[in-house]
Amino acid sequence: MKKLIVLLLTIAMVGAVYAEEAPAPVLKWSGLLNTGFQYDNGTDSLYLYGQNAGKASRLRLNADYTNGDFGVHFRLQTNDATTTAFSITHAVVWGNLFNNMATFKAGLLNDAAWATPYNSFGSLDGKTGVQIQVKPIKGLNVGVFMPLDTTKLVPAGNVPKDMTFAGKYSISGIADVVAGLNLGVAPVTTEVYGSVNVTAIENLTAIVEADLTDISDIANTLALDEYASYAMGNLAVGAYLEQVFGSPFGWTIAPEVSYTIDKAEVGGSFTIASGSKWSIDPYATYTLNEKSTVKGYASYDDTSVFTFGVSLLFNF
Amino acid sequence: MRKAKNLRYAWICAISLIILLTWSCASVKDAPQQYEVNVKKLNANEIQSISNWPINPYIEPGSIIRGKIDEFVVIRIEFKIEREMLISIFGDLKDNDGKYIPIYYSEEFLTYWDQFKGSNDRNSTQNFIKKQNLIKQTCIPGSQFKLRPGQYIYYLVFIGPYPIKKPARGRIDISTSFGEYDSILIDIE
Repeated sequence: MKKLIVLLLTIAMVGAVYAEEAPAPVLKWSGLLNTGFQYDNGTDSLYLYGQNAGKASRLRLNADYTNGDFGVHFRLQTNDATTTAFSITHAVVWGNLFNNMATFKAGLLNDAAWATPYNSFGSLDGKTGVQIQVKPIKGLNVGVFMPLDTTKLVPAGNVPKDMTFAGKYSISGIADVVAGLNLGVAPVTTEVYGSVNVTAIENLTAIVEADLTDISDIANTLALDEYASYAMGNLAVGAYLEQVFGSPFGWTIAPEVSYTIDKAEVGGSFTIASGSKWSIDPYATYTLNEKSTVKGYASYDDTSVFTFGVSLLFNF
Repeated sequence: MRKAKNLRYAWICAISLIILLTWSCASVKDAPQQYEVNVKKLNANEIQSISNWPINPYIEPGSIIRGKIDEFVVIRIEFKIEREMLISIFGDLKDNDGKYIPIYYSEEFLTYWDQFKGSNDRNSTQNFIKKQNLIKQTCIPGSQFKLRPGQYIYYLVFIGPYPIKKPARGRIDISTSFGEYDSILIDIE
């Protein structure tokens, strides 16, 4: 009897300690407004322009409810803030299981855990389905995504044919490696993608990405992208390169330079691409309040089109 | 015969004792050379000097309407390591109300910044990648990590809702697989 009382007291004390340490549920609201204006001499007009939404302004409202290892994420967004045409772009229920050894997400997803850093190949942002991430050792995150089409009934046998298997391995002090295979059923094509992001050298960013689409078809397309940048104090120099092995073969070379003075950054790039295309793109950004920026930019290209604009990004 | 045997045992014991003493003295003498740690809480100017503003992850995100949402306490930890060793770091920081302010190790800190990714244009994407890489290179990777011989500078970040009620007090405990132990008090006025 005494032993039972001691056991119950121990369980109660352990329970009390855990109850005390469990964080309180948190509901966070946030949002973003991206707007601005642009002029181009091709149309000789000045118009509303957001760099993320084209000839419109993007307004985004986020809600995040977190209760310990479980939570809900919700996003309402419009790409034309002058209307009330809001749509749901994220609606996710997520949970961390087994002391964060596994994570599940279900719904209209917001996940980029297995996406390549530069071009976001393999991003699950905006995709509907269920994702399971397994983290068996530190730095390794592998798993599966099962797309579930909400607009029609998908026979259960077809679900495995459209799954994505992917993973990311962060080798501390060396590189992050991403690889994925999207099996794909029509109209989605089979896709293999991967990237290496070197993290070994401070001030150096070096990324190589590859994306092979429609691998079962003879007319498949392989895109290779490389980006490197090196910072020397306030000055950073870099280049973006792309080769597309398809029909026809395409390439892009874009050297860039930027200089930062406190909250201001000025820079520009010169882009040359296959088909005798080129453009010069200078810009200047000013950080108003950590994550809210004003950006002035201009562009002049091989078709003699001159563009300039101001883009405003407000986080709230 | 028995006397000779006892003498032999005494001799073996004496030699063993000398070896043991020599080894233990050598260990004590070697210990300070294997590992050195310097800890400093950074002020705003020192945090800004870590990197350029657009890619510096140690400056708190904020918004035009709500201002700062969270407050960072950034601690610079410099290691000088002579032999490969396992480092353990634990921190305990509480605000004036006794509310716990958690540490964000590298992985949690990356997740924290994910929510502020913002714009998708090329320049913003590049800056976001650089910010992420800087976290991977400079933020304390976890409560336990291995270091090879060399000199390292890491940053330990505590994040609490803005403003953290002052004074906030706590400590950082750093220990190594060779038995060295340091406990550093943090006092934020």
